[in-house]
Amino acid sequence: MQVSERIKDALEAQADQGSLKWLNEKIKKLEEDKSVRDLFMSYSLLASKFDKGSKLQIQNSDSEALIFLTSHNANLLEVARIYLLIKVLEIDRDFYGPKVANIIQVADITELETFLKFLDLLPYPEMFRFTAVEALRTNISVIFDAITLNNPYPAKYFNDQQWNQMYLKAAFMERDLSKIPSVDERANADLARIISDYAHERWAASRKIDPMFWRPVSGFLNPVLLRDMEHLIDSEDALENKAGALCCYHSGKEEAMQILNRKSDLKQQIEEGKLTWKNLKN
Amino acid sequence: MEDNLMIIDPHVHMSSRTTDDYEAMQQAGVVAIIEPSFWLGQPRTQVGSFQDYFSSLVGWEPFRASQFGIKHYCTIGLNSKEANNEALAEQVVELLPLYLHKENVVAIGEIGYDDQTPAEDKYFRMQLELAKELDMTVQVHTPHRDKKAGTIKSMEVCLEHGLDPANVIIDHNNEETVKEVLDRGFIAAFTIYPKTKMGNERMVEVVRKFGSDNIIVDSSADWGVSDPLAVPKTASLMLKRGISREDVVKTCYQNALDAFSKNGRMKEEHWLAPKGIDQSQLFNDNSVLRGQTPRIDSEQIS
Ligand SMILES: [Zn+2]
Repeated sequence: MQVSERIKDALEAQADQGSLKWLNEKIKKLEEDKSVRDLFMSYSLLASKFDKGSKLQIQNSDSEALIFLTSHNANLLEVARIYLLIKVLEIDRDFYGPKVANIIQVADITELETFLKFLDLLPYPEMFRFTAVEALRTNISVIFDAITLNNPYPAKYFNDQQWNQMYLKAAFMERDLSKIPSVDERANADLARIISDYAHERWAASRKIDPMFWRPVSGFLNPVLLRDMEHLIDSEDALENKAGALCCYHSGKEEAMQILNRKSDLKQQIEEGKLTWKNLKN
Repeated sequence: MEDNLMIIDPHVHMSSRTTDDYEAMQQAGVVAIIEPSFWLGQPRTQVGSFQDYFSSLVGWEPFRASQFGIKHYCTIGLNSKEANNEALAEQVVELLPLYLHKENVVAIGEIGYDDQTPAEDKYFRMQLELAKELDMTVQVHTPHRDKKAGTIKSMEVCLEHGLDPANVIIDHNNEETVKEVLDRGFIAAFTIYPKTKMGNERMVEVVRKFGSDNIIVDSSADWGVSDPLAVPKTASLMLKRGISREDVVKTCYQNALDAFSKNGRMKEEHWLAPKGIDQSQLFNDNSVLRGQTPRIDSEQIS
């Protein structure tokens, strides 16, 4: 069963029946006529037909898409918007793809947030990589968060340069780095260098860094980063000690293990599974 | 300035103003503003310039306002001046339906006449039809030259297109036009201009004479000589001159709220029960609400 069908079923259980009938007719028409104007009008009118005050509620679904929507607190308007976009892309990717791009280009903050959060549910999600990367440039934090936090899209589709840009800006904007998925998988040498450089800048200005920021460096401990690890392990900040310990431990490097030995209690906690990146701040 | 007087400025072009203005407005009691789409001084030559401008009115600018604790709404439309570039106007009008349903768009505006040319007339009417089809409020800009005739014509055309006058705000009124507007059942907005035209001393007398029903005060502050505190200053002056608090609340808050909340997007709860200024939404440590002393120290519109 296609993603769109699952979402449609879920909408049917909750949304206003008149609105659903209207939407189904519009989609039928969009399938038959391929009209840009109809797509734009239908998309625009969703706002007056689906309630953004009601959250999608699903019990025991085995659909990943529905689980993703509910875990992100999707409301009915968001679900209807995503459903329409998925639907027209399924109908005719070549014709409707650029039109969907137009809709996104003129989105308001909430629409853009919806689109970015649920981008991974669209067919051909890689088509919209440019928009996703553009969203990294924003200073509007809800938009930046929509693409960056709790979103599988960047890890799947961003290249290293884009991923690193996102990770650094997230730290810079003081977002909650623990909400970025696949940090270990997307770690790379260049990012490790960027992290070290940024840390030196902050230290020089006597400013702190989120200890979570260090997580991607484990696999890339060169002499410079090993000195950074010493700095963390010897720090008076307990969270920095923990971050340094985790990086050293997971590096598997002999020199790093020697640094880690300075904090044998932390080493033991890691070995016993009591200290992880997940509970670092608890 | 009375305590706790909440102010709405339903006509202010914040895109042209600095964050100092937002800060001062918030301190002066402004809780919500409406930014009509208008001319930017320099005529646009590409439809993309309109698109980016409209996008900014539904994107960046509401975010910027929110950082100062002010709720931002806007009106979307093709202004009368630029309606005269017909090739461009055609494309802009095509773009409008994509914006009219966005969540902070409360009306079609500001539209109407400038030089009262045939092209202005054509696009004014097209947009009134759009308002009718989508059941939207209309915010009308009246001409600065030949004002009285232009104001009357604007109203007649609205009626001709079957719009409910109670759903049309006629802006930039003066003592000469207000009676006609109110008599016909339209809503009369007044722009308080520094130095010239409609000063706030005159506004006090208008309210004394015509009462507070269907009368709205705004600043129309933009990139020109103007004062973004015109509404709170006028409210303050009205109170000082013995206008009742009730009338001040109506003309500087409630009437604007009633007039622009008809499509359900503008809601008092947005500022009465705000989600709070989410500190995590401030970027680059740019916390802007540090409780400076109010900058409004006189009712004088300088
Ligand atoms: Zn204006």
